[in-house]
Amino acid sequence: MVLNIVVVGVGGQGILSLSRMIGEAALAHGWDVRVAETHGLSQRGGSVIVHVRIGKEVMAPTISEGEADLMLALELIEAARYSYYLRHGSFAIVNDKAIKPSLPGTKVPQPEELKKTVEGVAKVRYLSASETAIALGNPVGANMVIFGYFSRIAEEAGIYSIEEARKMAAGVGGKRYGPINERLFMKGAEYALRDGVGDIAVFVKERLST
Amino acid sequence: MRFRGDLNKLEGKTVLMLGNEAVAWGALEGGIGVATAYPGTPSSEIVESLVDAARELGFWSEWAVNEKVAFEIAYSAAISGINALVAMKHVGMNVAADPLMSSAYTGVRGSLVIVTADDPSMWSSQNEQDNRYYGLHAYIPVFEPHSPSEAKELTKYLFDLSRRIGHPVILRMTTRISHTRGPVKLGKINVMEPKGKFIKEDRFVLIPANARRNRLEMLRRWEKIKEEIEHIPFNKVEGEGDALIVAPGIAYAYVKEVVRELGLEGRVRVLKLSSVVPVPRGLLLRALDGVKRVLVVEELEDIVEKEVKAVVAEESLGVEVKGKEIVGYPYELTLARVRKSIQAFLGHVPAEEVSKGGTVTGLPVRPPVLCPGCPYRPLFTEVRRLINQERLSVVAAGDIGCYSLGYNKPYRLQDIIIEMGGSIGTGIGLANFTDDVVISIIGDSTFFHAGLPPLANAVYMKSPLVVIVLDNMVTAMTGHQPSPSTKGVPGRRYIPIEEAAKGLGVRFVKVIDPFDMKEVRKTVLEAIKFARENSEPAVIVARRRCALEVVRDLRRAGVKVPPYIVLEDKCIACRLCYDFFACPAIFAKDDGKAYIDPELCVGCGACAQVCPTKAIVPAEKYDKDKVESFWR
Repeated sequence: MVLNIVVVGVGGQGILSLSRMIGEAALAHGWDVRVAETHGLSQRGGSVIVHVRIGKEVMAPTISEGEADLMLALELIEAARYSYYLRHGSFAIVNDKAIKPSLPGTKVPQPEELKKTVEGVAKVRYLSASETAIALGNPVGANMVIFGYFSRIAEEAGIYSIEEARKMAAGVGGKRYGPINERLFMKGAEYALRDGVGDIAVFVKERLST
Repeated sequence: MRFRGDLNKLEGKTVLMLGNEAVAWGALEGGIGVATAYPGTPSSEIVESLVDAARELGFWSEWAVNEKVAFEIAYSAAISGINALVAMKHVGMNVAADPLMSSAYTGVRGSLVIVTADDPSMWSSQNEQDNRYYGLHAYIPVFEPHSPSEAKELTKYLFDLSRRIGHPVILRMTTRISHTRGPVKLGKINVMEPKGKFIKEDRFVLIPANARRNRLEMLRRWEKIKEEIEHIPFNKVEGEGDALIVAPGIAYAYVKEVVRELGLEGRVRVLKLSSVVPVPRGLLLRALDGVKRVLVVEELEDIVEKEVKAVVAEESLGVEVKGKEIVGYPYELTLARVRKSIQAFLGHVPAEEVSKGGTVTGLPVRPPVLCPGCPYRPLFTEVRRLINQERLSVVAAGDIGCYSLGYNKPYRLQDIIIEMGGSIGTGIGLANFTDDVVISIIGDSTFFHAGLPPLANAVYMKSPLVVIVLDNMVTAMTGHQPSPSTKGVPGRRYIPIEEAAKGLGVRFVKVIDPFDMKEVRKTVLEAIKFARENSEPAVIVARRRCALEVVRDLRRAGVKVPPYIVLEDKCIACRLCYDFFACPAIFAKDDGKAYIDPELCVGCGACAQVCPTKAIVPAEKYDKDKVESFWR
């Protein structure tokens, strides 16, 4: 059938390129793909959700509430906001970073509270993608860490090869940022290895085959 | 994505493309000669994709000042035998409606492919009007794809259809086709030189005598179109059974997936329609043969549903037709909504409702905001401050652009937003028929789009109106497309807005830097005084480049700009910079003092003048004059 992934975060975090890279990697391996993007006003630092659907044949562009199998979140508040898209028993890979919305007088809930919301519906893996990105020299490279993490799952689930995805990551950002992005990708893949993603891969594989 | 490089090499490749890019590639395959548009979400990427390709392949692709002019350029090219495409967002078609109606009367000699990108659910629009009605209204056939791949094939086909029948055609996209990526197999490029010949014919002169003849010709072409669409491969009947689901455009994508998911494949009949106006009658009758019940699943209005009901009644088929009573009118379709509709129609008991994940209450909203460095922020801040301090009763007549975000707290300077250019037109009514001070706020591209006629009107009827043109010299919100307000476009002439205003007879015209808050205050007060005392409009042009472009150019030029920092000992936690100026790079620390995020700060320095204790300073010394030259 179809694997439903929601990719969420804040406009400017590279959500569109992350979604697109996943889509292109899957397409290169013969899967049918739809990536439904958010454009226009929502890109000015607003809340962003992109729907990524992978399968033998995909028709509909979007994922309905409660029907996502996997969430890739670049930010905690947005992970909590869109958790109603997840089905029970799904998985979420979440960047452990909250970005305060830029509105006067805004109060942000405690990270624990945000995490509990996502954990109420999905099995969650947290990773410090932003910290890693800053440490390696590309402050906006958290999406590459997530890409690496997901690509490990994709490889184990037989969606696409992590090696080709790594080349894609290295090809982003020209001479200056390309090598950093490649390292960030590898870091993400490393985190996945450390956490063990066999359970997610089995789940994903099952979604794709039933 | 702009199509660049050797495009011919891409032939035969399958690429993950946005629906809009697929339309652009379809135009390349279909023989495009002239492509034009005014940008507007979700349509912008169509012509954007073609801008570079046009230069390399030798056709013409360029932005026009508004949809009406864009339409007229493409239309006259098509009259001259060229294959032309004009793209717009759904509300843009309202602006282009006048020549649109006439185009069906005159017909064309080349191709005229009119692309409308509708926005169900209003992701970035003021309404969700269904532009298929324009097809019915104007006698122009409407086609709708269900996927990016079909969007490409349809576009290519429509160039051929339009030329063969000599009639304009509408390709209707929606956000979820335009902005969804899907695999598209690229075919052979075949473009034409933008060189036509105008052959004088009476039909192109729409005086009443000719229009009456044209009306009959138009109806004859309409009959040809009806015949043509009976046999196109984009429409088809699938499956068997006595229940029929009619699925026009994108609805087919949802219906097909639900039918498969529910194991109904082959057991219900599905009529896939990509030609929606007119509905192919013969095909519909074949689909209805032996059917007892029909469900029409369509997004927004009940256009196909009405047609199906009419055919069933005319032919006395006695078939039950359901549609909107089950599916509903507003907002875009979803898998869940279509699944529920089909189950209700078939009398199936739906599976237990999927329990949804957690929704947390009290989650902070995250609306889009003006970017760090946005030239509009200091102006909005100062205008809000002077209104509060002078206790003025002001109505801020707003408009469509990034500055629409000035509606949000803390600025609250968009009290009415209706349509493109509406700030000045509604401003006249408000200024003349209420006691408030009226300030119209409009962007540079919007000013050229629809601000000139109402400004002439304001001068003519002596309306006491203050107009602030926020001039960042580009169409920023849709992705920085050039407009007549953009300097340095090769081969194009820049039009200073102050000259346009003076030319229309405005006697108070001042150009200011929106970063200079003292100047903003002084000039706005002067303008209000002038408008009230003389009962006539005053125009302020607030000019500074879009921060996104400046940051990009600084980076390209290798010019380093340090971020600004807050001097801990000087900050008195007054909250002005983060709650009143509200730059997204400035945050409050736990003790209320300000903190500037060095990753978000672009070093514009505008916040420094808001600080009463001069606690905001650049992190290190830099060449201010050099950096400043990029902002001009």
